[in-house]
Amino acid sequence: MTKKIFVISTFPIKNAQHGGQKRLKAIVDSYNANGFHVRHVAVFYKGYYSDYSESDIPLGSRYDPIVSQSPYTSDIVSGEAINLDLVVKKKLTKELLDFDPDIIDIHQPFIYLGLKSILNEIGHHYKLIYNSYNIEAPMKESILKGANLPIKDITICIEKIKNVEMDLTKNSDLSVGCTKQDVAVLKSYGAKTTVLAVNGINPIKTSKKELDYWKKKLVSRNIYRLIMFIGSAHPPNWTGFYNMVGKGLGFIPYDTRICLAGSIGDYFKNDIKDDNRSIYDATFWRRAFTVGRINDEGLGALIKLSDIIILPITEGGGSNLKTAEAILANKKVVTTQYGLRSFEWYNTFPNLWIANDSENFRRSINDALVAPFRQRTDQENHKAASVTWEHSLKELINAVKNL
Amino acid sequence: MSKIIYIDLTDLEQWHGIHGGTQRVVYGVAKEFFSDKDSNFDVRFMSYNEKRNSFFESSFEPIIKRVEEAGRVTDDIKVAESFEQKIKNALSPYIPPNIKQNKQAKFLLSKILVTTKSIKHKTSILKTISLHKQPKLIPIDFEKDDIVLVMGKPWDNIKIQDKLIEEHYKKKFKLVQLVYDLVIPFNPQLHHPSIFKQYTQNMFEAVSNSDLLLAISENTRNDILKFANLLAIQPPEIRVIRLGDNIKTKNDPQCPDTRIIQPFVASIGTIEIRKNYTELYYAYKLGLEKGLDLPQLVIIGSKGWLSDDIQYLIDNDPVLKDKLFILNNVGDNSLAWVYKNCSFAIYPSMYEGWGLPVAEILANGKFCIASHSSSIPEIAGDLIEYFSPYDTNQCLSLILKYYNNTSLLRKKETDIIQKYKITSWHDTYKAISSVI
Repeated sequence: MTKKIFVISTFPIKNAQHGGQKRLKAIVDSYNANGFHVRHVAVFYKGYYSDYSESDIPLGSRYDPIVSQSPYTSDIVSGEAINLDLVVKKKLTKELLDFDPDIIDIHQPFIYLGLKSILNEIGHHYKLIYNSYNIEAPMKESILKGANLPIKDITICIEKIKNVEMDLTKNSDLSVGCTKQDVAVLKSYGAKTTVLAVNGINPIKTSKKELDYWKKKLVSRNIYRLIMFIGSAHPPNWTGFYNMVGKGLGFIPYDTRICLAGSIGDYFKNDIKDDNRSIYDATFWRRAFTVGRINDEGLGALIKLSDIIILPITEGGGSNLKTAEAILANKKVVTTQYGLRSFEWYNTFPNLWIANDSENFRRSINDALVAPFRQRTDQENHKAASVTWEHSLKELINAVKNL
Repeated sequence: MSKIIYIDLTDLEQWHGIHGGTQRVVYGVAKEFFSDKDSNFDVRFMSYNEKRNSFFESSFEPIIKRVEEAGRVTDDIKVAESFEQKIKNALSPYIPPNIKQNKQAKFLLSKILVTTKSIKHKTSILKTISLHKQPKLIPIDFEKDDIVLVMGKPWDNIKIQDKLIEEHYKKKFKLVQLVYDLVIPFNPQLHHPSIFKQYTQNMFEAVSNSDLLLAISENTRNDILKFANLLAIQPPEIRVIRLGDNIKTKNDPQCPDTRIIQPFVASIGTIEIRKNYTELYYAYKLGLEKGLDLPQLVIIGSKGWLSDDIQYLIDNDPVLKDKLFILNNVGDNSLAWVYKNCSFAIYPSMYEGWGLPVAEILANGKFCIASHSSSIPEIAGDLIEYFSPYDTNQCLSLILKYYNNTSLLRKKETDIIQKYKITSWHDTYKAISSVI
């Protein structure tokens, strides 16, 4: 009989943009492709997402004041709303009961803040999967400290996250980690069964139309060399960029630009305005441009036309979709060692520069710009292809089949 | 075969009226290149045409003719006194350079003027504000061994710098640019906000892409290095060259205003926040409040950014009236009279790339008390005395010290005449020629 999986998260997956959305969508697609009957419901703060499905449960403007007070905790707010907001609770309970799943797959621990009460109330008999994306407590602590929130509030918040992470891990039949390190932590939290499902990507696709469009556009702007930075507007992404690349882009040659793709581009556009009277703001966009959230074929074209992909990653848990994308793209890559976590095998590949401080990182970009491109061996090509979701989710699918 | 050097004349071609500091430098150096028949270079001139976004051959002869024949002083004053020019002068400080170059804005300005004056005047205004028409535009095909020397104000239009670098990348010629200062990026409070972005962007490209930078002082050199360091730019070679400080005048020097009574003290420089005339105003108010006898102080400078407040204060203070006043339109010949006849000069500027008026007063054998800020002490070391641009008491006491002690002033002047080495524009030209 076909197993039914009810997947629940604090973000929708329609028109997936950020890393979390892409991972979740890949898992849902993979479940479907492997014959499971899947329903996904997102309980999420509407202010952050404009695209969502009918079955999703958006938290509307009533939540604006709550989220605006603490913009980095909307996931906690969403998780708690499942039990505290009676409209949300009723709708989710109905979805759950109507679908009557065999398995509930919980993405990130925040959902469990409210879902646990519902499950207790309905006397659940479902198998639980905890799909972690990071070890959330330490990462959230770093984000909240960076946002200069009061220490007391941070302590309460982190305590709450750590408790729910541990509680959910203990109560789940299967706990999923993105990195070996995360899996080890889940085990230490008392996980019954664990599986490693590193992040992967879909094969990079593009079209002649997009390629022609971008080729023409770049040449018209005297851009002959392109450096890609792809990411979502997630604090570790801009922190890493500022730490490793910086706002002073004078080391980038005149005919070269950094292309900021994904919502990180929107973040920079908002953060660095060339009308601000700062030497950094006035000059940053002389060597960078943003394409923001771009369609897959457009992004594929830019990746194909690029010379270098940079991974200035200095913090954040999980493994990185950006890293997988860079490996599959077969371009020159400048990264931190941290950016290669879960992909340590890539260390020995050609066209790779690893730098762990800003001066070396910038120098590596310049070195990479002028270095000749070296071809991969067949073995390396084969290994690089393993970063696709199809490969990276194999173990997870087998484990779910065996639940 | 001698190397071709292209000297950019874009600013001078478009400039009408009294030469400011930048135009003096471009004119002074270009004239020397133009006149040296034994030069090691094949000297050519160029200018940027925005409509075609390209560089074209230019000629220095019409410029030299215009400046020399005008004798600067008389014609400049005539232009300044005309109705149209008064409107232009009044509006100019408040129109950002990018707007000035905007055709629609220029058209609008001409419409405003047209409605206020006769057809005869209209014709003259349009003539004044229109670009010089080139009879035939000959595009420049730069080659690898060429040298391009830019000393003007490409920051007025970032397209000039962009085109220059685009050509530089393609043709690989040697790009040499003169850097006056980085006051705007580092002291944005001292300039109108509208110029910050284009100036900083221009400097970013100039420092990133030039093969050689000529700094007009050690202070500017240090500021370039600081700027490069902050923006992760690998700076090119930087050589410090000293600007000419000899003013040549064709006509007999003339007193610029009948209110001037000797002995008087002069302060020279554009009327703008950075020049810090507010300190002089307060020093004089303080001195008068204390009942002190002060010399007449004449401030000479064109109106610059945000100068209305201090101009209004000084123009309308009945207590100061003939004791302290501003002259806005003074040509080089009248300036030469001031240099020759003043007791000494005061230069209270908050920040400079060099401080040409200090050098010029010394070249005229006169003493100066000056702000100790930025590049100013490089000009004459201990030949002059310094005060803080933020200390009114210190400034006042130095004015009194030299006003009340003629023998000390004479001794200082003797020192200056004996020890101050005048730099001619020929010296500047030689210095530039030797490093490019």
